[in-house]
Amino acid sequence: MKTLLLTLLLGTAQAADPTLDQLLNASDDVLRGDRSRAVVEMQVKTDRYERSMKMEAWAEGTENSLIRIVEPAKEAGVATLKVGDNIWNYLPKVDRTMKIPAGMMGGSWMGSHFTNDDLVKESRMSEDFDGTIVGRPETEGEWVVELIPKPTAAVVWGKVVARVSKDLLPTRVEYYDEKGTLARTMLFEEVGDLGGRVVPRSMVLKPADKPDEYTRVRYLELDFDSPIPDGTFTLQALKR
Amino acid sequence: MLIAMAWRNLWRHGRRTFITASALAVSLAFVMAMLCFMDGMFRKMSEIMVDQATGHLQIAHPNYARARTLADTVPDLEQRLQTILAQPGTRAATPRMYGFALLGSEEETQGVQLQGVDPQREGIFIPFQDRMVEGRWLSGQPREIVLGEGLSRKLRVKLGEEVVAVTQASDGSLGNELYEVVGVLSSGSAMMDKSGAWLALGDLQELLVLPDQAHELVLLSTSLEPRQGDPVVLALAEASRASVGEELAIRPWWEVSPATATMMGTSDSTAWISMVIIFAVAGLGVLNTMLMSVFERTRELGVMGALGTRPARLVRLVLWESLLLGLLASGGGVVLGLFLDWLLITYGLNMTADGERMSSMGVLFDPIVYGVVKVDRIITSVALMLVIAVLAAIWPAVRAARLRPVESMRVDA
Repeated sequence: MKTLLLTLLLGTAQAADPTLDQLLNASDDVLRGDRSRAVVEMQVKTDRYERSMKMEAWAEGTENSLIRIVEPAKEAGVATLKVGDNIWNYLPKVDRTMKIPAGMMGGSWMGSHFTNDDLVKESRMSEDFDGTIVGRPETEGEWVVELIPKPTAAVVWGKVVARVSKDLLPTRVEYYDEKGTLARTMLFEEVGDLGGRVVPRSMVLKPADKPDEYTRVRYLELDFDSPIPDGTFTLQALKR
Repeated sequence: MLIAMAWRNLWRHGRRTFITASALAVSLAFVMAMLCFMDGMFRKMSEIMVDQATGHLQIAHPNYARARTLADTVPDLEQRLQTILAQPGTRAATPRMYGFALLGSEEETQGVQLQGVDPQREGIFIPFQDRMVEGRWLSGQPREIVLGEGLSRKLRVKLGEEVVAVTQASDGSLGNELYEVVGVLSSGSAMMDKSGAWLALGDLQELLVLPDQAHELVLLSTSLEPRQGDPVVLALAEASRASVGEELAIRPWWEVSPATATMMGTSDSTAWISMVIIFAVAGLGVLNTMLMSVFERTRELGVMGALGTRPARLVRLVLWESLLLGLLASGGGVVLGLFLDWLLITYGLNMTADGERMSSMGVLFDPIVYGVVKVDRIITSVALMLVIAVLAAIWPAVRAARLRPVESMRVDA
């Protein structure tokens, strides 16, 4: 999931300032291997409930990913497969695989503040958005990139503002709706060693209209080198 | 003395009086039949749009109506339901729970509106058992589901097959369960047929992790045709307030669905307008008759004036004649009207040519509307007819009073 979420910063600025291009590419290389495996902990706090889950995630490029819940026991084995634009959930209790219909992509993913759409779209920000550098470290203390959706893109955001530190690490992304109001903020925290690289280990997504709520995703393990067997990103593998 | 004179005057032209009275009587009978039919329609509407939809009262979490958040429930449901059923004035009560879920068959997945109901109690409100297209209504056994007609087509499931429901439960977990499709129904609401599914309340409580809770408690009062501000409904609200305490919202149906209330309100004014129009036409007949009879009696009335009869008395004489005419007509009219009402009550009136069920605003109607007779309606129409008969005689009466005796007596009669 990290790969998915971070890519929004990384693949965005081909047309922009070459410095930024390099900067993002550098980050990209740091964070995204060809294939990755991660163990993450997801904490969800809402006004109604608080829950914590542990999951294992595999990713291949930006197209494919598989996330399987390990804890809590009640939901262990529930898995989400993303291939391209499609998402399937596997439900071990009833032993069924369910494709998320197009109309449901805006719905919450596993009770968190992330939507199913986030899993799909975040990996394609460069296709859907045009980026411009609007702030530099000399003035802002960090790089600020403004992303405006392309006229043809089917995205829910009116504008996305991403901030990257001088050390080429993402720090904050703000999502604005079509009226220009801040809808949610993602913060990158706990910079530290992960899989042999220095990266933010935790991401916090906060909806703007509910200040007490958040979803925190913390990476416990991340490695780029462990082999992922072929056929991991298939419906057959989803059930395993 | 005046009345006796008026009565005798009426019969000086027996045939004319009879014809005018008949016209009045027929219009009265027609008005009675119309009201009988409209009240039948009204009762039907209130059954369909109030009893079977919103109920008379809804008890819910104060935020539920506005936000419809899953967790805004009526807690301690079982105990509350028992208290409410035991209180005086409750004709019926049933809990309902709503939830959104993905419903998947082997082939298709659809977003659906789940309704958790008590299969037996719900039947008192909405006769789902009569609206099955295929299979049967819920039996109360666990893990049964009934689908709307359109939904079952979209999912391409057959009776006996299983569907899986997936939803985000109230604790954030991913609720999922398999249900057996036992029936397909045509609810009458196009929206629910397309995306609605019904299951036992207990099953939905489990799926959504909301034990012993519901989103609404729906009540029926003893009122058969609850109107806006109905005191019977308000009394039940009062009693329920004592039963459930302060923390829950209790709303009468006209607050739950103001559009229904407006619609039901207009049907009453329509009745009044039609009534006034019909009687006004009949009133013109009375006006004509009375004018003629005053003209014919110009000489006679002049003589009366010359003999010292005061104009006010002449006015009263003519008004009494018209009123007696009206009373005569109301006797015959009520008899004829009751006969028409009896026909409407016994046989009803089919609203469609082919006897198919008809649909209005997404609600199915049984096409046969049976009349409803109300004594107060009959009294009102008779009274209105008499008032109009008297009003119609004012102008002739005033003419009679204004006659100058000397000139009038010169008129040959």
